[in-house]
Amino acid sequence: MIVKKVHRINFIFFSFFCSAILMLVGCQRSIYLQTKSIQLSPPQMRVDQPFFDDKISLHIGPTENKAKIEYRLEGNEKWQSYKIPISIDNSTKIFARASSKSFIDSEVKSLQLVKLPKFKMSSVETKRKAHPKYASQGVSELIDRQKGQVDYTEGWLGYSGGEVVFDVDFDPRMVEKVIVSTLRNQDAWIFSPSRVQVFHGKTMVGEKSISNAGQATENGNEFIEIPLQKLKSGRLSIRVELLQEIPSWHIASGQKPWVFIDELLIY
Amino acid sequence: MMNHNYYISRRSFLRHASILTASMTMRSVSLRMFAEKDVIIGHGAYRYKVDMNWGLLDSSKFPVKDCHEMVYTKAGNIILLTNDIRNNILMYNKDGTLVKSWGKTYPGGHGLTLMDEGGEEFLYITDTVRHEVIKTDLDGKEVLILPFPRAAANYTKPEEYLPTETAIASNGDIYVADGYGSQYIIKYNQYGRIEKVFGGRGEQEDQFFNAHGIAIDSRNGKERLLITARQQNKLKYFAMDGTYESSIHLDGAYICRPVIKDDTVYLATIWSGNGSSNTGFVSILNKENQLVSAPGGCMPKYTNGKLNPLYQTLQIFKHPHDVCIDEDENMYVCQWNAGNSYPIKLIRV
Repeated sequence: MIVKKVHRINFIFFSFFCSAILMLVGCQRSIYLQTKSIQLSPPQMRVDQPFFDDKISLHIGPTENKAKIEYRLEGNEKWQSYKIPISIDNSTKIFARASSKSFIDSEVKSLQLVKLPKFKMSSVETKRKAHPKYASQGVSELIDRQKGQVDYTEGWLGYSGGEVVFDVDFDPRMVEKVIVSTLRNQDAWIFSPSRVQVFHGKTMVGEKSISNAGQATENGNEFIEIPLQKLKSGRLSIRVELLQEIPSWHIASGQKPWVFIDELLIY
Repeated sequence: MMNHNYYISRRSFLRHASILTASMTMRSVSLRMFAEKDVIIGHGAYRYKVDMNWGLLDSSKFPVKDCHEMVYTKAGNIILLTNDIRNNILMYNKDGTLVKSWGKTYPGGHGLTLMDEGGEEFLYITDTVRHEVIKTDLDGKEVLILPFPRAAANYTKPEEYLPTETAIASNGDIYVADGYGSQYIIKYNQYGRIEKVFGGRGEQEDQFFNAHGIAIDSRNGKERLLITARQQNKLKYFAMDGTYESSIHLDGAYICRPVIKDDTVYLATIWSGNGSSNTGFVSILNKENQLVSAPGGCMPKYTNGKLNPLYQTLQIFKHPHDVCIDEDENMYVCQWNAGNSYPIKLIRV
């Protein structure tokens, strides 16, 4: 009887031992990356080009991983669920994000859209030629009302170091602001300018310093808006000043930075 | 009686068995519960689980900066090239254990190509700081240096020549891509004599913006050069004499170098979309050069024969710079500018 009991106890012990081992194996964390530790990428926002005349249709997404897309327009804090393309009829910035039960929500991504001025520039001149590799079709690219190509091979003028001044002519009218359309691609040594000044004759009528020009930022378009003292003019000079050197955090520290410009807009 | 002592009643057996069954069921449930949370990336037949812990080393002893490229040896080891001059080369076995390390003289170590030459394997390292290509054995003994080819393409100074990749033809000819420099492809014979220069920076079909990677594609039985034009999101085919043949468009994919294994081309894709930071993934082309999977990226979709623009969907990779495929078709992904991180292993499922 005692022997039988001992064997039964052994079997019970054995069963629990096996169970414990199996439970341990079962509860062991997977060695593979888990969904909840991964963040969704922000949704893609697509337009024909960020410049438009009257209105433009904005598409967001599609997303995968059962993600939901939300968006909001600049100045409106309320997020809306994205279902169909959005019609935009004024310059604005759009913010979008993706969320899902399985993954960490995405960061918020933004896209600036710019409504073109109703009048066209007559001509643009500069004494400084763009670098031959990044000269596109010449300085007239800056008033063609077209955005440069994403890969900055067409439509852009590239300058390395120093400053460049553009003289823009147009039919005389009241003007109130200038937008300089530039590119940020710090991996390719392309930085925002450090300062933009606007002159009417010899009088400076507007100025903008770009305080974060030397900081690490996301690649993308940058539209530098310079408010002007309201005045009537038919010719403005736009002076673009580059950073003196590439900042210390960058792999090309101390080298001359590049500035890429694809459009000058006057309102 | 003795037998009876070992006897356990049917009822008792069932009770104990039920404990086992229950625990096995719980194990199954718990395994399934966890298995469902494993990230699976990629599309179609090319889908992968992600092992972020493969190849982790003590960074105080075996540091890495940018992990630029990897190759897979016939002995089943994985060789990684980094531009950290404390150990430019790290050799792993497949389970991620370090086998050996060497190399302190490649500050711009960028391209790494493996070639079996008469039974012995050699490495071709491109160095963008030294402006040279260096051929070594697997222990680091240098056997050939291709110096700055000043006369080859009217180069005026070494800074114009930043070689990013090599490809070695079956006859021993060496092709060097000047992908960060003047965008020329320089063809040497096996002894290091320059025979031809083609390509160059430009928008023409036979020119490049960022001729970053080059490989020999012999999948259809005839050797051809397959070269990336990374900034243009294209792969370009050239005949071995440097004649342009055709292009493959991969809009939105900033592809680094083609890695060909069997019928498939794998490409680390360092950026996507508009080229923003931390938007990388991996691109996989089938035998017909159709994109069939993009681990970490969107599902490939063709509209009227044209591939829709590609973009990242999950933030697993930052800047993939190269991939390496083992005989089980698992993939190892090394990255540029990714916080001094070691490679990521993708296990094909």
